Amino acid sequence: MIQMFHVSKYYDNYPALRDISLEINKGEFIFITGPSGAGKSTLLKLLFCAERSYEGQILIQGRNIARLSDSKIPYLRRNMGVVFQDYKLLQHRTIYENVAFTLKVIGMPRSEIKRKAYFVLKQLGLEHKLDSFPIKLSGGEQQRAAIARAIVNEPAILIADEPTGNLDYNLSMEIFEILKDINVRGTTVIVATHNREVLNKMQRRIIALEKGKIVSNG
Amino acid sequence: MSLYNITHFIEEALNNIRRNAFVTVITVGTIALSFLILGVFLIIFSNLKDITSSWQEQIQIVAYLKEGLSSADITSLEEKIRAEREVSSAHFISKDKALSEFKKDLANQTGLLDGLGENPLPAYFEVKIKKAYQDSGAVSSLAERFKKIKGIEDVQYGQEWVENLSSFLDLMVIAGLVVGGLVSLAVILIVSNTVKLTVYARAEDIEIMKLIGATDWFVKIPFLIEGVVIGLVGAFLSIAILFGIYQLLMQRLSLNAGILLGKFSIAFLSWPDIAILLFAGMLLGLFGSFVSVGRFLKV
Repeated sequence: MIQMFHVSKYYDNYPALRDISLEINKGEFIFITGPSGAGKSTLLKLLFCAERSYEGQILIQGRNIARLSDSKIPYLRRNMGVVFQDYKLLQHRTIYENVAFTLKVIGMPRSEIKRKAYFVLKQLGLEHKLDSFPIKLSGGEQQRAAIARAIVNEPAILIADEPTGNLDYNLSMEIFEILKDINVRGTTVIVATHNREVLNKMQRRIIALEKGKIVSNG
Repeated sequence: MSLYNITHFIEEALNNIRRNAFVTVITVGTIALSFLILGVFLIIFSNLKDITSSWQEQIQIVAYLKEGLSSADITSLEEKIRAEREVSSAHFISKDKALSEFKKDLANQTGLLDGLGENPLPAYFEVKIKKAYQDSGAVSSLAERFKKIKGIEDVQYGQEWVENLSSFLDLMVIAGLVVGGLVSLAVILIVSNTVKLTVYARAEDIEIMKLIGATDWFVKIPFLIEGVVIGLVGAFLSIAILFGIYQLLMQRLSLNAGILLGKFSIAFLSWPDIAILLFAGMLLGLFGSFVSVGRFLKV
């Protein structure tokens, strides 16, 4: 599904990632972990093309993403849900509108959008918050809304960067249960976290980074 | 572009305006104010132009005829005068007509004329000049040519006045271009920068939309529509305010200064000017949005 060959990324000569080679299979649930500044976020940013200059090769579903023109990137992203630590919800739109936007982007008919957005928000326990604005929601609710937005168009890959960074243990476990469910339904899930408790409890493949290098994989 | 997309874009643009009501109101207000200044300039300039062109229309050459010309001579003279390309009309005034008009002008002192035996006034042609040739160079060269025509005794055209008017008109056009240019430049900068502010306030939204998988145009078009609407409403508002002020001012003028100024009146913006202002508002809104959205699309 995802292959990285000798990928390095520098910020002003400072190496953020060094000679990363890894393979993530379809349907896998993997964690990327490591201390702050280890390169977790950079690695994810390369996957959803928020960073485009790097050394090495990255293949996603067999396509070399370095060869994608700027105009093709949106189509790659539509096949990829991304959940951010700071949620990145559109503040002037309701939760329903935030989720529906992902479907509007792909030109889905209105009735279908309504059905799908409502379904996914209900699935994440947010059906009573449809008309609320993000600012009115708790951290856990905002993160669930962000996940709803990321999965509503059933992407092949779900990427989550520190999705529980701002949440307590119970809420974190709740979020990971949701991610597990999504994975069970066939989506490849990649999560960056440094939450040890969660890692121990989830028992999944862990790629550990330190100073931009893979120090353990398995 | 499908109908689905068009409805989406318009809906998005209108929702954005509603969601950012405060910024929108400030922006529309700023645009209206700057267009107001442009509108005032246009009113002053076009009225000055009307006044001077009415002066220009008064430019005429009077060609006095020699005594004792037959009517056939006069007809051929008229043909010669009309044949000049600068001439728009030539009106013949006979000796008798000249005298009766002179009498009319001196209505109170008709006694002065009683002493005149024979009519001393010459017959003449009043020659009007086409608009394109109403400047001192063309008028004086035409007058020179008239002087050479057999049967014409003398030619008058108020040389000094025509020359002064010509140089005043040249000055006015230059001043108009300079002031108009500066005002327009200020309006362009103010409007496009104000529209930019509405976009800058949503830089993060643009980033998020791109990360979700929106194409550049999908993000851009609602902003462009928004820019057009804001620019158009701002320009329209300025014209409405200007019209209100104009009406109020005209009422005051006709009440207080009517006697002083006689038939003097100020014209409001012409329809083409109004259309240009509205179009400029739209275009500047579009331009401001286009430039500023582009800056945030690189995600």
